[in-house]
Amino acid sequence: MIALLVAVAVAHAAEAPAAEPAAAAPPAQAAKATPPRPDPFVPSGNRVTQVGGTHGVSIGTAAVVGAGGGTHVTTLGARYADRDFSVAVRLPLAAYRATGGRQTDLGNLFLEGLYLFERPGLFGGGEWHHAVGIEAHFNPGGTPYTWLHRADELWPGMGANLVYQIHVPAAAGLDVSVRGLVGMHAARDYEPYPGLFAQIGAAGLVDWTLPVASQVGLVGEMAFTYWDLSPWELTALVRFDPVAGVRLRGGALLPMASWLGWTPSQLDRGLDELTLHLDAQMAF
Amino acid sequence: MRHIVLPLLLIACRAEPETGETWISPVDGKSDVLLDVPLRVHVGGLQLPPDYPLGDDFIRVVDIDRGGFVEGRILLEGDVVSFVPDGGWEPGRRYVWSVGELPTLERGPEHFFPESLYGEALFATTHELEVLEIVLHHDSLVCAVLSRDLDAITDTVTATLDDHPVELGPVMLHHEVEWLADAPPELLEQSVSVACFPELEAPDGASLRLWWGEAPSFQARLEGADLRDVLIGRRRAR
Repeated sequence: MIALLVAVAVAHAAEAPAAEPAAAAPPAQAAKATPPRPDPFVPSGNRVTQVGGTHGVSIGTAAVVGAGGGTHVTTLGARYADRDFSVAVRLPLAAYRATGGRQTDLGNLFLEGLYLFERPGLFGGGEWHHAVGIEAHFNPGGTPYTWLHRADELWPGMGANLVYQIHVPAAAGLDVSVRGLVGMHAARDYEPYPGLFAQIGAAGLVDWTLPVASQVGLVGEMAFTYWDLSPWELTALVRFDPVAGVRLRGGALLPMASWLGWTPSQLDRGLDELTLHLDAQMAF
Repeated sequence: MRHIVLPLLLIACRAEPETGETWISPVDGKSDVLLDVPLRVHVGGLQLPPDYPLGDDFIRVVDIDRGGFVEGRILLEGDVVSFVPDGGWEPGRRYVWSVGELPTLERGPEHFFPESLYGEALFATTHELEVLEIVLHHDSLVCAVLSRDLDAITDTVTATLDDHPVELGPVMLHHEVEWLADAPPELLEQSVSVACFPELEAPDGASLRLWWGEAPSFQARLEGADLRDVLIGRRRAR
Protein backbone atom coordinates (compact mmCIF):
# COMPACT_ATOMS: atom_id res chain seq x y z
CA MET A 1 0.00 0.00 0.00
CA ILE A 2 2.81 2.32 0.95
CA ALA A 3 4.66 1.39 -2.15
CA LEU A 4 1.51 2.16 -4.14
CA LEU A 5 1.18 5.59 -2.52
CA VAL A 6 4.84 6.38 -3.16
CA ALA A 7 4.45 5.25 -6.74
CA VAL A 8 1.40 7.51 -7.23
CA ALA A 9 3.20 10.43 -5.62
CA VAL A 10 6.26 9.99 -7.79
CA ALA A 11 4.09 9.64 -10.84
CA HIS A 12 2.17 12.88 -9.94
CA ALA A 13 5.40 14.68 -9.34
CA ALA A 14 6.68 13.53 -12.67
CA GLU A 15 3.47 14.61 -14.39
CA ALA A 16 3.17 17.97 -12.67
CA PRO A 17 5.63 19.94 -14.90
CA ALA A 18 3.92 18.52 -17.91
CA ALA A 19 0.54 19.61 -16.57
CA GLU A 20 1.51 23.32 -16.24
CA PRO A 21 1.96 23.98 -19.99
CA ALA A 22 -1.24 22.15 -20.63
CA ALA A 23 -3.13 24.54 -18.31
CA ALA A 24 -1.46 27.62 -19.81
CA ALA A 25 -2.42 29.18 -23.08
CA PRO A 26 -1.05 27.67 -26.23
CA PRO A 27 2.32 29.19 -27.31
CA ALA A 28 0.78 30.85 -30.34
CA GLN A 29 -1.85 32.61 -28.21
CA ALA A 30 0.70 33.74 -25.56
CA ALA A 31 2.72 35.54 -28.21
CA LYS A 32 -0.30 37.63 -29.17
CA ALA A 33 -1.20 38.64 -25.57
CA THR A 34 -0.94 42.41 -24.75
CA PRO A 35 -0.83 44.17 -21.39
CA PRO A 36 -4.26 45.01 -20.08
CA ARG A 37 -5.46 48.39 -21.28
CA PRO A 38 -5.16 50.90 -18.41
CA ASP A 39 -8.20 52.56 -17.02
CA PRO A 40 -8.65 55.49 -19.43
CA PHE A 41 -9.66 57.87 -16.64
CA VAL A 42 -7.50 57.96 -13.56
CA PRO A 43 -9.47 59.78 -10.86
CA SER A 44 -8.81 63.50 -10.84
CA GLY A 45 -10.28 66.57 -9.23
CA ASN A 46 -9.47 70.24 -9.45
CA ARG A 47 -5.90 70.29 -8.16
CA VAL A 48 -5.24 66.56 -8.41
CA THR A 49 -4.72 66.06 -12.12
CA GLN A 50 -5.21 63.01 -14.24
CA VAL A 51 -1.96 61.12 -14.21
CA GLY A 52 -1.58 58.06 -16.39
CA GLY A 53 -4.61 56.59 -18.04
CA THR A 54 -4.63 56.91 -21.79
CA HIS A 55 -4.31 59.72 -24.30
CA GLY A 56 -7.17 62.10 -24.42
CA VAL A 57 -8.53 65.58 -24.73
CA SER A 58 -10.77 67.63 -22.51
CA ILE A 59 -12.74 70.82 -22.37
CA GLY A 60 -13.90 72.35 -19.15
CA THR A 61 -15.62 75.46 -17.98
CA ALA A 62 -15.70 77.06 -14.58
CA ALA A 63 -17.66 80.13 -13.56
CA VAL A 64 -17.82 82.07 -10.34
CA VAL A 65 -21.37 82.73 -9.31
CA GLY A 66 -22.49 85.02 -6.55
CA ALA A 67 -21.56 88.51 -5.49
CA GLY A 68 -17.98 88.12 -6.65
CA GLY A 69 -19.00 86.40 -9.84
CA GLY A 70 -18.45 87.21 -13.44
CA THR A 71 -15.16 85.47 -14.05
CA HIS A 72 -15.50 82.55 -16.42
CA VAL A 73 -12.74 80.24 -17.58
CA THR A 74 -12.84 77.72 -20.39
CA THR A 75 -9.93 75.31 -20.42
CA LEU A 76 -8.80 73.17 -23.32
CA GLY A 77 -6.60 70.24 -22.47
CA ALA A 78 -4.79 67.32 -24.04
CA ARG A 79 -2.70 64.56 -22.56
CA TYR A 80 -0.44 61.81 -23.76
CA ALA A 81 0.14 58.89 -21.45
CA ASP A 82 2.53 56.01 -21.85
CA ARG A 83 3.35 53.25 -19.42
CA ASP A 84 6.16 55.22 -17.85
CA PHE A 85 5.33 58.84 -18.45
CA SER A 86 2.50 61.25 -18.92
CA VAL A 87 2.49 64.62 -20.65
CA ALA A 88 -0.35 67.11 -20.48
CA VAL A 89 -1.02 70.57 -21.79
CA ARG A 90 -3.80 72.97 -20.80
CA LEU A 91 -4.77 76.41 -22.03
CA PRO A 92 -7.35 78.47 -20.13
CA LEU A 93 -9.35 81.21 -21.82
CA ALA A 94 -10.73 83.85 -19.49
CA ALA A 95 -13.78 86.06 -19.74
CA TYR A 96 -14.15 88.57 -16.94
CA ARG A 97 -15.62 91.87 -15.89
CA ALA A 98 -13.63 95.05 -16.18
CA THR A 99 -14.53 98.71 -15.79
CA GLY A 100 -14.56 99.18 -19.54
CA GLY A 101 -16.83 96.18 -20.07
CA ARG A 102 -16.42 92.46 -20.39
CA GLN A 103 -13.02 91.30 -21.57
CA THR A 104 -11.66 88.03 -22.87
CA ASP A 105 -8.05 86.94 -22.91
CA LEU A 106 -5.66 84.00 -22.92
CA GLY A 107 -4.55 82.62 -19.61
CA ASN A 108 -1.30 80.85 -18.86
CA LEU A 109 -0.30 77.82 -20.90
CA PHE A 110 0.25 74.79 -18.65
CA LEU A 111 2.66 71.98 -19.37
CA GLU A 112 2.96 68.94 -17.16
CA GLY A 113 5.41 66.11 -17.53
CA LEU A 114 5.42 63.22 -15.08
CA TYR A 115 7.38 60.02 -14.68
CA LEU A 116 5.14 57.15 -13.60
CA PHE A 117 6.10 54.15 -11.54
CA GLU A 118 4.52 51.68 -9.17
CA ARG A 119 5.49 50.56 -5.71
CA PRO A 120 3.89 48.17 -3.27
CA GLY A 121 1.40 49.86 -1.01
CA LEU A 122 2.23 50.68 2.58
CA PHE A 123 -0.58 48.75 4.20
CA GLY A 124 -0.29 45.46 2.43
CA GLY A 125 -2.62 46.38 -0.39
CA GLY A 126 -1.89 46.33 -4.09
CA GLU A 127 0.43 48.51 -6.07
CA TRP A 128 0.36 52.28 -5.57
CA HIS A 129 0.78 54.42 -8.65
CA HIS A 130 3.34 57.17 -8.18
CA ALA A 131 4.08 60.13 -10.41
CA VAL A 132 6.83 62.68 -10.06
CA GLY A 133 7.57 65.54 -12.39
CA ILE A 134 7.19 69.17 -13.24
CA GLU A 135 4.22 71.37 -13.95
CA ALA A 136 5.15 74.67 -15.54
CA HIS A 137 3.22 77.60 -16.91
CA PHE A 138 3.96 80.71 -18.89
CA ASN A 139 1.94 83.45 -20.44
CA PRO A 140 1.63 83.18 -24.23
CA GLY A 141 0.83 86.89 -24.62
CA GLY A 142 -2.44 87.57 -22.89
CA THR A 143 -2.94 90.05 -20.08
CA PRO A 144 -5.92 88.79 -18.12
CA TYR A 145 -5.38 90.59 -14.82
CA THR A 146 -7.84 88.40 -13.01
CA TRP A 147 -8.05 85.01 -11.37
CA LEU A 148 -10.54 82.28 -10.75
CA HIS A 149 -8.88 80.57 -7.79
CA ARG A 150 -5.46 79.32 -8.77
CA ALA A 151 -2.78 81.96 -8.63
CA ASP A 152 -0.95 80.55 -11.65
CA GLU A 153 -3.88 80.02 -14.00
CA LEU A 154 -4.71 83.41 -15.55
CA TRP A 155 -2.72 86.33 -14.14
CA PRO A 156 0.26 86.92 -16.46
CA GLY A 157 3.32 85.17 -15.14
CA MET A 158 5.50 82.13 -15.34
CA GLY A 159 6.78 79.48 -12.99
CA ALA A 160 7.15 75.81 -12.24
CA ASN A 161 6.29 73.36 -9.51
CA LEU A 162 7.85 70.05 -8.65
CA VAL A 163 4.90 67.73 -8.15
CA TYR A 164 4.47 64.31 -6.62
CA GLN A 165 1.21 62.45 -6.89
CA ILE A 166 0.16 59.08 -5.58
CA HIS A 167 -2.92 57.18 -6.68
CA VAL A 168 -4.10 54.43 -4.37
CA PRO A 169 -6.77 51.97 -5.51
CA ALA A 170 -7.96 51.63 -1.94
CA ALA A 171 -10.84 49.23 -2.49
CA ALA A 172 -13.19 48.11 -5.18
CA GLY A 173 -14.72 51.32 -6.52
CA LEU A 174 -12.80 53.51 -4.13
CA ASP A 175 -9.71 55.46 -5.18
CA VAL A 176 -7.63 57.85 -3.15
CA SER A 177 -5.09 60.29 -4.57
CA VAL A 178 -2.79 62.80 -2.95
CA ARG A 179 -0.68 65.43 -4.61
CA GLY A 180 2.06 67.63 -3.26
CA LEU A 181 3.87 70.47 -4.94
CA VAL A 182 6.57 73.02 -4.31
CA GLY A 183 7.81 75.65 -6.72
CA MET A 184 8.61 79.23 -7.59
CA HIS A 185 6.59 81.66 -9.66
CA ALA A 186 6.92 85.11 -11.10
CA ALA A 187 3.91 87.29 -11.82
CA ARG A 188 3.17 90.85 -12.87
CA ASP A 189 3.70 92.79 -9.70
CA TYR A 190 0.32 94.43 -9.19
CA GLU A 191 -1.70 93.99 -6.02
CA PRO A 192 -2.70 91.50 -4.81
CA TYR A 193 0.07 89.58 -6.60
CA PRO A 194 3.67 89.69 -5.44
CA GLY A 195 6.24 89.83 -8.21
CA LEU A 196 7.85 86.61 -7.05
CA PHE A 197 6.36 83.97 -4.83
CA ALA A 198 7.01 80.45 -3.70
CA GLN A 199 4.28 77.89 -3.74
CA ILE A 200 3.78 74.85 -1.60
CA GLY A 201 0.63 72.82 -1.65
CA ALA A 202 -1.08 69.56 -0.89
CA ALA A 203 -4.32 68.09 -2.11
CA GLY A 204 -6.22 64.93 -1.32
CA LEU A 205 -8.93 63.31 -3.39
CA VAL A 206 -11.43 60.53 -2.89
CA ASP A 207 -13.23 59.00 -5.86
CA TRP A 208 -16.08 56.61 -5.17
CA THR A 209 -17.85 54.65 -7.88
CA LEU A 210 -21.48 54.04 -7.02
CA PRO A 211 -22.09 50.31 -6.48
CA VAL A 212 -25.47 50.50 -8.16
CA ALA A 213 -24.23 52.32 -11.28
CA SER A 214 -20.64 51.79 -12.28
CA GLN A 215 -20.78 54.68 -14.77
CA VAL A 216 -21.40 57.15 -11.99
CA GLY A 217 -19.03 58.29 -9.29
CA LEU A 218 -18.56 60.99 -6.69
CA VAL A 219 -15.36 62.95 -6.30
CA GLY A 220 -14.37 64.99 -3.28
CA GLU A 221 -11.17 66.96 -3.01
CA MET A 222 -9.58 69.25 -0.45
CA ALA A 223 -6.56 71.37 -1.28
CA PHE A 224 -4.24 73.70 0.58
CA THR A 225 -1.89 75.93 -1.35
CA TYR A 226 0.34 78.78 -0.28
CA TRP A 227 0.88 81.32 -1.86
CA ASP A 228 -2.44 81.34 -3.60
CA LEU A 229 -5.59 83.37 -4.01
CA SER A 230 -7.54 80.38 -2.72
CA PRO A 231 -5.36 78.83 -0.03
CA TRP A 232 -8.00 76.36 1.11
CA GLU A 233 -10.74 74.94 -1.05
CA LEU A 234 -13.11 72.00 -1.27
CA THR A 235 -14.32 70.51 -4.51
CA ALA A 236 -17.30 68.20 -4.98
CA LEU A 237 -17.97 66.63 -8.38
CA VAL A 238 -20.27 64.03 -9.87
CA ARG A 239 -18.83 62.09 -12.78
CA PHE A 240 -20.71 60.13 -15.39
CA ASP A 241 -19.34 57.93 -18.16
CA PRO A 242 -22.17 57.72 -20.73
CA VAL A 243 -20.12 55.61 -23.13
CA ALA A 244 -16.69 54.05 -22.99
CA GLY A 245 -14.00 56.71 -23.37
CA VAL A 246 -16.17 59.67 -22.45
CA ARG A 247 -16.44 61.18 -18.99
CA LEU A 248 -18.63 64.10 -18.01
CA ARG A 249 -18.15 65.88 -14.70
CA GLY A 250 -20.03 68.60 -12.92
CA GLY A 251 -19.92 70.13 -9.50
CA ALA A 252 -18.79 73.03 -7.43
CA LEU A 253 -15.68 74.42 -5.84
CA LEU A 254 -16.10 75.96 -2.41
CA PRO A 255 -13.43 78.61 -1.73
CA MET A 256 -13.24 78.10 2.01
CA ALA A 257 -10.34 80.48 2.53
CA SER A 258 -12.05 83.26 0.60
CA TRP A 259 -15.17 82.78 2.64
CA LEU A 260 -13.14 83.12 5.81
CA GLY A 261 -11.16 86.09 4.53
CA TRP A 262 -7.90 84.15 4.45
CA THR A 263 -6.87 85.43 1.08
CA PRO A 264 -4.46 88.09 -0.12
CA SER A 265 -7.28 89.79 -2.01
CA GLN A 266 -8.63 92.92 -0.34
CA LEU A 267 -12.23 92.33 -1.27
CA ASP A 268 -14.52 91.25 1.52
CA ARG A 269 -16.53 88.48 0.02
CA GLY A 270 -17.76 86.36 2.83
CA LEU A 271 -19.94 83.39 2.12
CA ASP A 272 -21.38 84.77 -1.08
CA GLU A 273 -19.76 82.98 -3.99
CA LEU A 274 -18.82 79.58 -5.29
CA THR A 275 -17.49 78.23 -8.53
CA LEU A 276 -19.47 75.92 -10.76
CA HIS A 277 -17.47 73.42 -12.75
CA LEU A 278 -18.34 71.36 -15.81
CA ASP A 279 -16.05 69.40 -18.06
CA ALA A 280 -15.96 66.67 -20.65
CA GLN A 281 -13.06 64.30 -21.08
CA MET A 282 -12.39 61.93 -23.94
CA ALA A 283 -9.93 59.05 -23.83
CA PHE A 284 -8.56 57.33 -26.90
CA MET B 1 3.08 72.18 13.67
CA ARG B 2 1.02 75.10 14.93
CA HIS B 3 4.15 77.25 14.91
CA ILE B 4 4.38 76.74 11.16
CA VAL B 5 0.75 76.87 10.15
CA LEU B 6 -0.21 80.01 12.03
CA PRO B 7 2.40 82.30 10.46
CA LEU B 8 1.57 80.92 7.04
CA LEU B 9 -2.08 81.68 7.54
CA LEU B 10 -1.30 85.13 8.84
CA ILE B 11 0.86 85.88 5.83
CA ALA B 12 -1.86 84.60 3.56
CA CYS B 13 -4.35 86.93 5.17
CA ARG B 14 -4.99 90.33 3.71
CA ALA B 15 -2.55 93.16 4.19
CA GLU B 16 -3.10 96.74 3.12
CA PRO B 17 -1.12 97.55 0.01
CA GLU B 18 1.68 99.94 0.82
CA THR B 19 1.41 103.35 -0.74
CA GLY B 20 4.11 105.93 -0.82
CA GLU B 21 3.75 109.66 -0.77
CA THR B 22 0.86 111.31 -2.52
CA TRP B 23 0.87 114.70 -4.17
CA ILE B 24 -1.51 116.73 -6.28
CA SER B 25 -0.70 119.42 -8.79
CA PRO B 26 -1.53 122.24 -8.92
CA VAL B 27 -1.55 122.95 -5.21
CA ASP B 28 -4.99 123.59 -3.68
CA GLY B 29 -5.83 127.28 -4.18
CA LYS B 30 -3.32 127.92 -6.93
CA SER B 31 -4.11 130.76 -9.37
CA ASP B 32 -2.39 131.67 -12.59
CA VAL B 33 -2.42 128.05 -13.72
CA LEU B 34 -1.19 127.63 -17.28
CA LEU B 35 -3.89 126.76 -19.79
CA ASP B 36 -2.22 123.60 -21.06
CA VAL B 37 -1.17 122.06 -17.76
CA PRO B 38 -2.93 118.83 -16.81
CA LEU B 39 -4.05 118.04 -13.30
CA ARG B 40 -1.81 115.43 -11.75
CA VAL B 41 -2.20 112.99 -8.92
CA HIS B 42 0.97 111.26 -7.87
CA VAL B 43 0.73 108.12 -5.75
CA GLY B 44 4.07 106.68 -4.77
CA GLY B 45 4.15 102.95 -5.24
CA LEU B 46 1.08 102.96 -7.46
CA GLN B 47 1.22 99.65 -9.29
CA LEU B 48 -1.44 99.25 -11.92
CA PRO B 49 -1.31 97.70 -15.37
CA PRO B 50 -0.70 100.25 -18.13
CA ASP B 51 -4.16 99.84 -19.58
CA TYR B 52 -5.94 99.64 -16.26
CA PRO B 53 -9.40 101.20 -16.67
CA LEU B 54 -9.63 104.04 -14.17
CA GLY B 55 -13.11 105.15 -15.14
CA ASP B 56 -14.21 108.47 -16.58
CA ASP B 57 -15.11 109.98 -13.23
CA PHE B 58 -11.96 109.11 -11.35
CA ILE B 59 -10.96 112.79 -11.56
CA ARG B 60 -13.86 115.21 -11.87
CA VAL B 61 -13.45 118.90 -12.60
CA VAL B 62 -16.16 121.53 -12.30
CA ASP B 63 -16.03 124.96 -13.91
CA ILE B 64 -17.11 127.18 -11.02
CA ASP B 65 -17.73 130.28 -13.12
CA ARG B 66 -19.74 128.65 -15.88
CA GLY B 67 -20.96 125.53 -14.09
CA GLY B 68 -20.86 121.95 -15.29
CA PHE B 69 -18.23 119.27 -15.54
CA VAL B 70 -15.13 119.76 -17.65
CA GLU B 71 -14.63 117.13 -20.32
CA GLY B 72 -11.21 115.56 -20.50
CA ARG B 73 -9.10 112.44 -20.64
CA ILE B 74 -7.71 110.53 -17.70
CA LEU B 75 -4.27 109.06 -18.26
CA LEU B 76 -2.23 106.66 -16.17
CA GLU B 77 1.54 106.93 -16.53
CA GLY B 78 3.55 105.05 -13.96
CA ASP B 79 2.50 106.36 -10.58
CA VAL B 80 0.89 109.55 -11.90
CA VAL B 81 -2.74 109.89 -12.93
CA SER B 82 -3.42 112.95 -15.08
CA PHE B 83 -6.52 114.78 -16.20
CA VAL B 84 -6.06 116.49 -19.55
CA PRO B 85 -8.92 118.86 -20.38
CA ASP B 86 -10.27 118.72 -23.89
CA GLY B 87 -9.02 121.90 -25.52
CA GLY B 88 -7.17 123.09 -22.41
CA TRP B 89 -8.38 125.29 -19.57
CA GLU B 90 -10.35 128.46 -20.29
CA PRO B 91 -8.56 131.69 -19.35
CA GLY B 92 -9.87 133.67 -16.41
CA ARG B 93 -11.79 130.78 -14.87
CA ARG B 94 -11.93 129.09 -11.48
CA TYR B 95 -12.21 125.35 -11.17
CA VAL B 96 -12.73 122.82 -8.41
CA TRP B 97 -11.64 119.21 -8.78
CA SER B 98 -11.64 116.03 -6.78
CA VAL B 99 -10.25 112.52 -6.92
CA GLY B 100 -12.79 109.74 -6.75
CA GLU B 101 -12.59 106.19 -5.56
CA LEU B 102 -10.44 103.94 -7.67
CA PRO B 103 -12.82 101.49 -9.32
CA THR B 104 -12.59 98.13 -7.65
CA LEU B 105 -12.66 95.22 -10.03
CA GLU B 106 -13.77 91.83 -8.85
CA ARG B 107 -10.75 89.58 -9.04
CA GLY B 108 -8.58 92.30 -10.51
CA PRO B 109 -5.68 94.57 -9.66
CA GLU B 110 -6.29 96.24 -6.35
CA HIS B 111 -5.17 99.56 -5.05
CA PHE B 112 -6.61 101.71 -2.36
CA PHE B 113 -5.76 105.38 -2.40
CA PRO B 114 -4.98 106.99 0.92
CA GLU B 115 -7.65 109.17 2.49
CA SER B 116 -5.38 112.19 2.12
CA LEU B 117 -6.14 112.34 -1.59
CA TYR B 118 -9.86 112.72 -1.21
CA GLY B 119 -11.52 116.10 -0.94
CA GLU B 120 -11.90 119.06 -3.25
CA ALA B 121 -9.11 121.31 -4.45
CA LEU B 122 -9.39 124.67 -6.17
CA PHE B 123 -7.36 126.26 -8.91
CA ALA B 124 -7.81 129.19 -11.25
CA THR B 125 -6.46 130.44 -14.52
CA THR B 126 -6.94 134.04 -13.37
CA HIS B 127 -3.88 136.19 -12.66
CA GLU B 128 -5.27 137.50 -9.38
CA LEU B 129 -3.21 136.95 -6.30
CA GLU B 130 -4.97 135.81 -3.18
CA VAL B 131 -3.85 135.15 0.34
CA LEU B 132 -4.77 131.54 0.98
CA GLU B 133 -3.72 131.11 4.58
CA ILE B 134 -1.87 132.90 7.38
CA VAL B 135 -0.06 130.88 10.03
CA LEU B 136 2.25 131.42 12.96
CA HIS B 137 5.16 129.29 11.81
CA HIS B 138 6.76 127.62 14.80
CA ASP B 139 4.69 129.91 17.05
CA SER B 140 6.77 132.95 16.17
CA LEU B 141 7.00 133.81 12.46
CA VAL B 142 3.92 135.18 10.71
CA CYS B 143 3.70 133.76 7.18
CA ALA B 144 1.08 134.03 4.45
CA VAL B 145 0.58 131.39 1.80
CA LEU B 146 -0.08 133.12 -1.53
CA SER B 147 -2.00 131.74 -4.48
CA ARG B 148 0.83 131.99 -6.97
CA ASP B 149 4.54 132.10 -7.33
CA LEU B 150 6.12 135.56 -6.93
CA ASP B 151 9.65 136.59 -7.80
CA ALA B 152 9.31 140.00 -6.20
CA ILE B 153 6.76 141.98 -4.26
CA THR B 154 5.37 144.80 -6.37
CA ASP B 155 2.10 145.34 -4.50
CA THR B 156 1.46 147.32 -1.37
CA VAL B 157 0.99 145.09 1.64
CA THR B 158 -0.71 146.37 4.78
CA ALA B 159 -2.17 144.70 7.84
CA THR B 160 -4.08 145.15 11.07
CA LEU B 161 -3.55 143.12 14.21
CA ASP B 162 -6.67 142.86 16.32
CA ASP B 163 -8.04 145.71 14.20
CA HIS B 164 -5.05 147.99 14.93
CA PRO B 165 -2.76 148.96 12.03
CA VAL B 166 0.70 147.42 12.35
CA GLU B 167 4.03 147.87 10.62
CA LEU B 168 4.86 144.71 8.72
CA GLY B 169 8.51 145.52 8.16
CA PRO B 170 10.47 143.67 5.49
CA VAL B 171 8.74 140.82 3.71
CA MET B 172 10.68 137.66 2.98
CA LEU B 173 9.49 135.72 -0.07
CA HIS B 174 9.94 131.96 -0.13
CA HIS B 175 9.11 129.39 -2.76
CA GLU B 176 7.04 126.37 -1.89
CA VAL B 177 9.86 124.08 -2.92
CA GLU B 178 11.93 125.25 0.05
CA TRP B 179 9.61 123.28 2.29
CA LEU B 180 8.76 120.50 -0.13
CA ALA B 181 12.13 119.59 -1.53
CA ASP B 182 11.17 115.92 -1.42
CA ALA B 183 8.23 116.34 -3.79
CA PRO B 184 8.57 115.13 -7.38
CA PRO B 185 9.99 118.19 -9.22
CA GLU B 186 7.47 118.04 -12.05
CA LEU B 187 4.67 118.43 -9.55
CA LEU B 188 6.11 121.64 -8.14
CA GLU B 189 6.03 123.44 -11.46
CA GLN B 190 2.63 124.80 -10.53
CA SER B 191 3.67 126.08 -7.14
CA VAL B 192 2.95 128.99 -4.84
CA SER B 193 4.99 131.42 -2.77
CA VAL B 194 5.01 132.09 0.93
CA ALA B 195 5.52 135.59 2.35
CA CYS B 196 6.91 135.84 5.87
CA PHE B 197 7.11 138.89 8.11
CA PRO B 198 10.06 138.41 10.48
CA GLU B 199 9.62 141.73 12.29
CA LEU B 200 5.92 141.38 12.93
CA GLU B 201 5.31 140.29 16.48
CA ALA B 202 1.95 138.65 16.81
CA PRO B 203 0.77 136.45 19.67
CA ASP B 204 -0.95 133.13 19.19
CA GLY B 205 -4.69 133.73 18.86
CA ALA B 206 -4.43 137.30 17.57
CA SER B 207 -6.58 138.35 14.63
CA LEU B 208 -4.54 139.43 11.61
CA ARG B 209 -6.08 141.05 8.55
CA LEU B 210 -3.89 141.39 5.49
CA TRP B 211 -4.34 143.52 2.37
CA TRP B 212 -2.19 142.46 -0.57
CA GLY B 213 -2.45 144.88 -3.46
CA GLU B 214 -5.90 144.87 -4.91
CA ALA B 215 -6.78 141.43 -3.64
CA PRO B 216 -9.62 141.16 -1.16
CA SER B 217 -8.43 141.38 2.44
CA PHE B 218 -7.78 138.09 4.22
CA GLN B 219 -8.37 137.70 7.92
CA ALA B 220 -7.15 134.86 10.08
CA ARG B 221 -6.83 134.06 13.74
CA LEU B 222 -3.19 133.17 14.19
CA GLU B 223 -2.42 129.64 15.22
CA GLY B 224 0.90 127.96 15.61
CA ALA B 225 1.70 125.60 12.75
CA ASP B 226 4.51 124.20 10.70
CA LEU B 227 4.56 125.66 7.20
CA ARG B 228 5.59 122.33 5.75
CA ASP B 229 2.51 120.71 7.24
CA VAL B 230 0.34 123.48 5.84
CA LEU B 231 1.77 123.08 2.36
CA ILE B 232 1.65 119.31 2.55
CA GLY B 233 -2.04 119.58 3.37
CA ARG B 234 -2.63 121.73 0.31
CA ARG B 235 -0.75 119.18 -1.80
CA ARG B 236 -2.80 116.33 -0.34
CA ALA B 237 0.55 114.85 0.54
CA ARG B 238 1.44 112.47 3.31
